[in-house]
Amino acid sequence: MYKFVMPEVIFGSGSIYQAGECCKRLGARHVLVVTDRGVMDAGWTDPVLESCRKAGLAATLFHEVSVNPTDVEAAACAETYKESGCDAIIAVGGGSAIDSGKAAAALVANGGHIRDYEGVDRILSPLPPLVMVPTTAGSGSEVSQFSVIVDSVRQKKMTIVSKSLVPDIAVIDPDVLATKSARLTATTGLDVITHAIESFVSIAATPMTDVQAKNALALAARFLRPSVASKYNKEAKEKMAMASLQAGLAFSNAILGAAHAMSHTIGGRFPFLHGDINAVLLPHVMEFNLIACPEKFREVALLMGENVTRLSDREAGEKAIQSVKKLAVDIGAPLTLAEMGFHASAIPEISEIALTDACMITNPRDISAAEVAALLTRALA
Amino acid sequence: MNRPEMIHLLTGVQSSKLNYYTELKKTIGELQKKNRQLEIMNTIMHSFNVNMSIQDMLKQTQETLQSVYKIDRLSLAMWEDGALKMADVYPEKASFLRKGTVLSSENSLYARVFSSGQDLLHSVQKGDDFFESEAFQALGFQSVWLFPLSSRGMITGVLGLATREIFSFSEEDRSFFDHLSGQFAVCIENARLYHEVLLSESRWASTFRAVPDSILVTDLDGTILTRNDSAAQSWPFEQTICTFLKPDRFHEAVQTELPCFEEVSIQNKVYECAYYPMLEDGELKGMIVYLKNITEKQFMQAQIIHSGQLAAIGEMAAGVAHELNNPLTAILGNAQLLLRLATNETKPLLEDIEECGKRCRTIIRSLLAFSRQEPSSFHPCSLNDAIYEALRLTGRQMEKQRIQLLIELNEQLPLVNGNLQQLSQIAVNLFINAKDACSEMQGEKRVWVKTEADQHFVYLHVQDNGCGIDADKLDEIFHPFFTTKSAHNGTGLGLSVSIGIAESHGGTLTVKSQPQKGSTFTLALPVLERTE
Ligand SMILES: Nc1ncnc2c1ncn2[C@@H]1O[C@H](COP(=O)(O)OP(=O)(O)O)[C@@H](O)[C@H]1O
Ligand SMILES: [Fe+2]
Ligand SMILES: [Mg+2]
Repeated sequence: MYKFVMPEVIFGSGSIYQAGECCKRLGARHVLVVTDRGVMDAGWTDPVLESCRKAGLAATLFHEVSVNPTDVEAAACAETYKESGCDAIIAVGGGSAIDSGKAAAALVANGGHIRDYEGVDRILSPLPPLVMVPTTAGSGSEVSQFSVIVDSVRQKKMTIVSKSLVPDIAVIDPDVLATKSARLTATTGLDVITHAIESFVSIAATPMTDVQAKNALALAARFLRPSVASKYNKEAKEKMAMASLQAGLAFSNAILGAAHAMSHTIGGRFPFLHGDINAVLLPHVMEFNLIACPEKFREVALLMGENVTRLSDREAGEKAIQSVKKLAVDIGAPLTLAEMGFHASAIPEISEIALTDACMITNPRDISAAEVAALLTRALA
Repeated sequence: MNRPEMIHLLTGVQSSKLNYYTELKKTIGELQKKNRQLEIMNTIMHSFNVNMSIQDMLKQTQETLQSVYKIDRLSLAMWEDGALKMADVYPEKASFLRKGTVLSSENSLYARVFSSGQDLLHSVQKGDDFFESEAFQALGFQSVWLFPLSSRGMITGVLGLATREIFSFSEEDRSFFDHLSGQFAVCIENARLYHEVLLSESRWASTFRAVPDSILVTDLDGTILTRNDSAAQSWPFEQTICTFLKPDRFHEAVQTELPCFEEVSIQNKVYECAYYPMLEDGELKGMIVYLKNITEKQFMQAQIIHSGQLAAIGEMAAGVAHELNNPLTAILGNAQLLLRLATNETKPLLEDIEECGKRCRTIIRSLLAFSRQEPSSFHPCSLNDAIYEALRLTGRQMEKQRIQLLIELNEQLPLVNGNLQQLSQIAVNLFINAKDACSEMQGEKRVWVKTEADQHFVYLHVQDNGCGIDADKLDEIFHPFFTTKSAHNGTGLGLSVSIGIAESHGGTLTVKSQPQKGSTFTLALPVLERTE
């Protein structure tokens, strides 16, 4: 028995202009548009505000969202929502804006502090209508039941898991990816690949998530390089948008693994890009996990376009790892934690905390704090 | 939690995205419940009235609550005379601790709630060791929810809700019951105050009713509004005082608004009657008619006067008799001497002088007897003997008048301490009076003479079927010189002398009479006390 949850999805070029109408259909009158400076500067907030105006909806803008959104920001966002008398939320942006929007929604409907909802199924009251417009093709948050928020006191990323966090409508417009810098495209693209691989080998994977994960991996492996290479490769952008969506659907339902568990922990401590951390950790985690499900890793290699004929599952798996590493090199992603500014002294603590992350649960190979520490040490340089 | 369980939770077949429909339903449900609660509160409070018993209040509450809460028992503990005591319980059959049981022990849940002022939801457990545990278990309760009752800032008791099923509740329920207990406390307090007032009022009412004098409250026309027990006994059916009281004084009191008094006689009784105007805020609202029966008192007063009169007359008579005795002896002696020398012409005149002289002597002797100037000695003697003596003296006269004498003397009659001559004088007087009363009557004339005794007295009844005595004369016949007879027959001294003798013997002489039917005189003398 398994379950597959996903929001309504609108996909396609120009769909961003549907955002307002989507909200209206959900009964909204006054929308809180949650976004960040970068997205505003890139000009993607305007079409959303415009679509609201056209749909006859009042709109209030909230843009105080940082790279790793904090509880304080989420609370401020919820406060703005209440003060302005909003009744729906549109989040435009990357994972940060979307997770902030979700957290704010949880707060306005349930009150309290976002910390109260950390963990699984802690949200008790339904959330206001949520329409998500992802602009980064990476986080998958627009379709997931997760919201990751930094606890500013504990300096830790809290993972909030609830079916109620699954947005009502995800509006995916590949056109918005055109403004992304190569650097950002690379890092979010690597996040997509991490999502696809981790959810595919997850012990909670189902045939429904496998379809999504495999498709996502195949698309990303093929189109990430061209997408990073050119802002104007519309096809590559569209494929990456689809890859991100499908990877999102996969991991939202099959959950992730050790790479994300560690990445969440490091992200709570250091201002690194989520995709970068994943990119560095993924090969090491794959190596560690290889013995748990070599046949799955064989498929990963295959999906990434490797020739695995006459190779054992294990050898094929190793090829997959190489393939990921190569991809990272090709698109200029960081290769070690050290080069990002991570310090070895943080390892023991990070290892402890990472073990408690929800993503660790579905990792295909059981893992101890020492093993996490060993992985981190290997990823360090 | 193990890993498969965690995964299950994460991917969650059991959990779903919450939606507003359920939320709305919940809200509406809560609103409806709230409305029902308000309705209940309203119904309960309106159905209460101050003179309702607490038992009825509990019953009403439980029945009204039924539509929302299945409460199996409502109980009350109240602070009374310095202790928290078990009070009413509804339904009554669901009580274990008797009414009045003191809940002071430290492990009493009721007492805990009473002293903390905080409600307490207790789920009954097997090993519970509270004061009430045995009761709860015996009655099969699963949950007991206790609320403090506070009225005017004071905790006055504890309201208990008990259920045989486990009671699950929300914060809303708590505030509802909290509110309910508050209202309840106020109602109980009101009822208590009301009963207190009622009690003191009923105390007044019973005082009013118990006053031995008659009290009637009337309106300004004399229509009776209320009467106390004594008045109700004398005038049970009268609608207005005008049927038994002359209204003059009443009207005077109404006009002057000042109390008025009068003495009235109603049905052979004498009353001191007072009319007290009833003023409310300076306005005359009615009249209190206060009737004090003074018949007895007046009778006693009359007797005192009477005996005073007798004494005075006695003294005077003794003097007069003494003074008259000597001249009368001279008159009688001379008349008798002259009679011997009388001629035919003078003889009748002298005989008349002698006759009148003798009559005077009789009167003087009676007067002397009356004034008890003659010394008398008392001995144990039989009243019967005195009667025989009297009959011997008067029998012939009775016969002459053809009066039938019916004599019924108790041979076992106890002795009395007295003077035989004096007692037979009483009997003579009574027989002669009886004879006189019969003389003018037509038909058969009868006189009954009867003696009897009880523990303390011996009685002589002399009854005749003669002319009888008018009611207004009954008092006067005992006065000296009162007579209705012609100068030849009556001196008016017989009864007054007799009553004097009776009293000197420690006895009484009384009369009952019906005009034209006859009279009965009764002499009562105390039985001789034997010192054994
Ligand atoms: N048995 C009687 N029946 C009717 N009247 C009586 C009787 N005895 C006494 N009386 C009344 O009482 C009056 C006083 O009686 P009494 O003192 O004996 O005086 P007297 O007999 O000389 O009149 C009588 O005149 C008579 O009117
Ligand atoms: Fe991720
Ligand atoms: Mg006489």
